[in-house]
Amino acid sequence: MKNDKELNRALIHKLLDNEASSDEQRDMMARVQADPGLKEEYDCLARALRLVETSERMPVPAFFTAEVMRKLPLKKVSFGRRVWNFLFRGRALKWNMATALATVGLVALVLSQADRVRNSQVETAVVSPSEQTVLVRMNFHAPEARHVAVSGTFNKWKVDSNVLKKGDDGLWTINIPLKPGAYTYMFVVDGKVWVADPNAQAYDDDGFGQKNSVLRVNL
Amino acid sequence: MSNSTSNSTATEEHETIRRCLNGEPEQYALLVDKYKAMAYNIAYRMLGDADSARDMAQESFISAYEGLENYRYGAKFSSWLYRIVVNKCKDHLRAGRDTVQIDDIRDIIPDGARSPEQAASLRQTGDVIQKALNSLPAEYREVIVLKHLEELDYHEISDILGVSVNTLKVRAHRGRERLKELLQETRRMV
Amino acid sequence: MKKNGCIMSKTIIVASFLALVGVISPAFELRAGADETGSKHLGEARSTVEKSSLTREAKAGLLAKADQAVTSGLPAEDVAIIITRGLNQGAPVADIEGFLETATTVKKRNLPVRLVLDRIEQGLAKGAPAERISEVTRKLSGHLATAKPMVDKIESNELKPARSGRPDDAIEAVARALEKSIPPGAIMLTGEKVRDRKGSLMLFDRAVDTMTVFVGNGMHAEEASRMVHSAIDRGYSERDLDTMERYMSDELRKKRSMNDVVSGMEARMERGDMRERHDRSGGGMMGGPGSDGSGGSGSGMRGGGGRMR
Repeated sequence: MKNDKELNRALIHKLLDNEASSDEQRDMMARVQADPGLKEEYDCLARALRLVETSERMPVPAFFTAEVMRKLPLKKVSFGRRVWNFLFRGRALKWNMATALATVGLVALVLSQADRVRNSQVETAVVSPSEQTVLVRMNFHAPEARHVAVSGTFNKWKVDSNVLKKGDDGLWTINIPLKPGAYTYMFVVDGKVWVADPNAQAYDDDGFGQKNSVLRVNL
Repeated sequence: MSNSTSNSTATEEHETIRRCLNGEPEQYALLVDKYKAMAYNIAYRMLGDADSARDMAQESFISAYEGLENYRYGAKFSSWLYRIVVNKCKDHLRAGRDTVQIDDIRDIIPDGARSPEQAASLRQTGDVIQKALNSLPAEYREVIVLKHLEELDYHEISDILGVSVNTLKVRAHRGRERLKELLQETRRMV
Repeated sequence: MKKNGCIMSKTIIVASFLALVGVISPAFELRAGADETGSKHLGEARSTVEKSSLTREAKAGLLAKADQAVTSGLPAEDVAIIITRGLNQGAPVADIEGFLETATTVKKRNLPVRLVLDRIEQGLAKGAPAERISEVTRKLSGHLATAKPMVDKIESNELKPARSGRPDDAIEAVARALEKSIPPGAIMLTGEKVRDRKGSLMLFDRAVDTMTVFVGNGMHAEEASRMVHSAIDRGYSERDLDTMERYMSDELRKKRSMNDVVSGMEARMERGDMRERHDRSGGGMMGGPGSDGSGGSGSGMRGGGGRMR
């Protein structure tokens, strides 16, 4: 009897491990149907496992990757390797027609000004760190919205100058180049509803009864 | 996933790791993005606490990065990473920090039997299964989490934990039995 | 979550563009371009005023105020935005003139005007009642006037000069803190603590910013001051202050009470869990290429630095 009980138990676990052969499965099912005690044991185990297997997957906290990347130690890379990477590393660029036309226009202008540049005193502008920008991506999930824009201190609270693009999954996105600093902003949905970013780094009372999202950008 | 797909994924990962080691550390973010959900969920189910889970998962990625030079290209990055996650969680538990041990089985209340107050309390302290997992010994908990939550097979779990498949099966069986007992007891109490 | 496969990982393209523009700028004559832009904005504002249903006298008065504002040094674009938005929102002319006058006064007193302009533009964009905007901006200009001598005093107390912090930023930070009723004493004490830790003006204005954010989210001013002072005493950097802010937001998102947030923060500070693990300065790495978190913004960002408007 004891051996039978242990055998049953081992077979149940083999079933739950999805390792039982078809014969073993049939055999086990027959035993379970014939023995109410065994059936209850099997049902309880299966129920417990079902609870585990169907339990909620926890959402990863916001900015998880950004925090990991920020905390990574600096690895020493040789100067030669850095130069090589800078020159030869493949880069993914996102172009739009406006940028392409602006670039063509700039090239044309440079060519047309070539003589003047050669003869004049050329001053190379040194781009200070405060003039460098970081490309910040903003997302907003609103499958029902028809139009989403972002309005904030970086665009003088205009509601139509930074419009997000809608993806198939209802996620609206935009990339904005911003200088290092702190900004406050909100999303404007369908031109009239002001919404704070649900995943902002922080929030701040705007003095008009709403909460602005806070964004801090660093190089 | 077909063999060719998994092979190409492994090749892409090796390329990412190679680039990380050759002066492009920002490539590591690709690996973090890919595995953060699993790492976080393993840590959460092991520790039962969101803050500790985030900290342990992030520390695991950092440790993995620090040890990237020792990474063997034949092994799966994910297995290696998850081993770090599980070990860090076990160290954390051993140190007695943030342990959520159940002294009173009555803390576990099944669905449908909660009063609004109990439901609110449960929302604050975690779900039913988490409470039950928290009461399992660590070596049972890790197998249950990896096998039934993360749906890994015993061979991969064996790679991760460095324990034989047979030992893992014994621990899984005992873990399930214990879970079953816990849930049966709470049903009787309600 | 969809992963965008096509990203720009660093702004070398933008920096190169800026450098290129700098090379040809003598030929480009950008300064003239900027004046032209200003004229363009004023032209648009003028056109909006002319087309409005205001009386002739009201139009003349408003345009005169606009000219006065620009002459005093206010950027033409901001003046144009205030007029255009104000008229489109149906704000009374007297209020629109009042906005311009407040900003002009602030500018003439050599106080940083960016904050006031931003507040007016924000209020108008959000459709806030004109009298509310007037009240807010009037009080804000008062706070700016109070903030300036405070910052002068703190600066004179041998605060380390910041590599890029400016007194204007600190004045704005203090004004915003005063707006939230953070006591001047607490702000001055922050300055002393930063000085004692040999911190810079930038750290000071960042610390004051953090106090403001805490209070803006419901923390009592005394608790906010205590938390930030404790952080400074422990040698926290700007990024560590960032971590504190983010902790508070995360906890509030989980519906924790502010009391719990404060207790949790204190406990983590005691344990040393609130600090940045690696204090890395300089460039080289930014956030992950994929967006972080679902449905929210945040990719490509790092904490620390900058003050709020």
